[in-house]
Amino acid sequence: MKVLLFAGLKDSMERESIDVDVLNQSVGQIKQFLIEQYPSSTGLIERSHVAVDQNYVGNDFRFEMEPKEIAIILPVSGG
Amino acid sequence: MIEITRKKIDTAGLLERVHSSQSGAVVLFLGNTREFTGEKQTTWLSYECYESMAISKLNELRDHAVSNWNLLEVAIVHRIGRVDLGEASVAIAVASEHRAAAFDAGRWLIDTLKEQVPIWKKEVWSDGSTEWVHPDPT
Repeated sequence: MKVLLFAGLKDSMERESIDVDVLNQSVGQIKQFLIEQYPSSTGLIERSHVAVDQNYVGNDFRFEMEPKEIAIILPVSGG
Repeated sequence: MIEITRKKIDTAGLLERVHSSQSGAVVLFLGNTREFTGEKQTTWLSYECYESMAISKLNELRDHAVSNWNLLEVAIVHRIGRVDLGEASVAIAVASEHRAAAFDAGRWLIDTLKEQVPIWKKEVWSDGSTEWVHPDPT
């Protein structure tokens, strides 16, 4: 499914989203997959949180079903 | 009232919205584009957000603040896109019966927004270079 990218990560990976097979994978494994695909974005991916259906989840979170939305969230800087 | 907008924030309108005959205290916080960060000069800021989550997080923060401080009204507006020097990128208006609750809740709302709400700023420096701001956790 489509994983959404924003801000510095969107610029670094030069795309707004990436298709990832998430079923039965953990958030940590998905980050590792992204690092393998985009090694030059490693530092940014390691610093990111992941949001599933608009809630932050930890690296241990495992996808037993496909959510509606997944996003990679770099440290935020609103305000 | 929670809003993400590309337009200049109408702060007078925001105060009007939260004000009522019950509110003995109204606090307005504005986060503005600052020209200098140390030696570096900002030309403007550009904001981006993950809109559906930003709205849902801002609603969560508002609900928490209203129940925790027993507030009468809260309004939060965040701008995205280009924000010029001196203009507000965020406005938070809080109304309560007494001032302590309005000040405390306003402070908590902006601090928590800056930690949790998926909005990002890009500095456009005076030398033409740009830089996304992704702060290290403190």
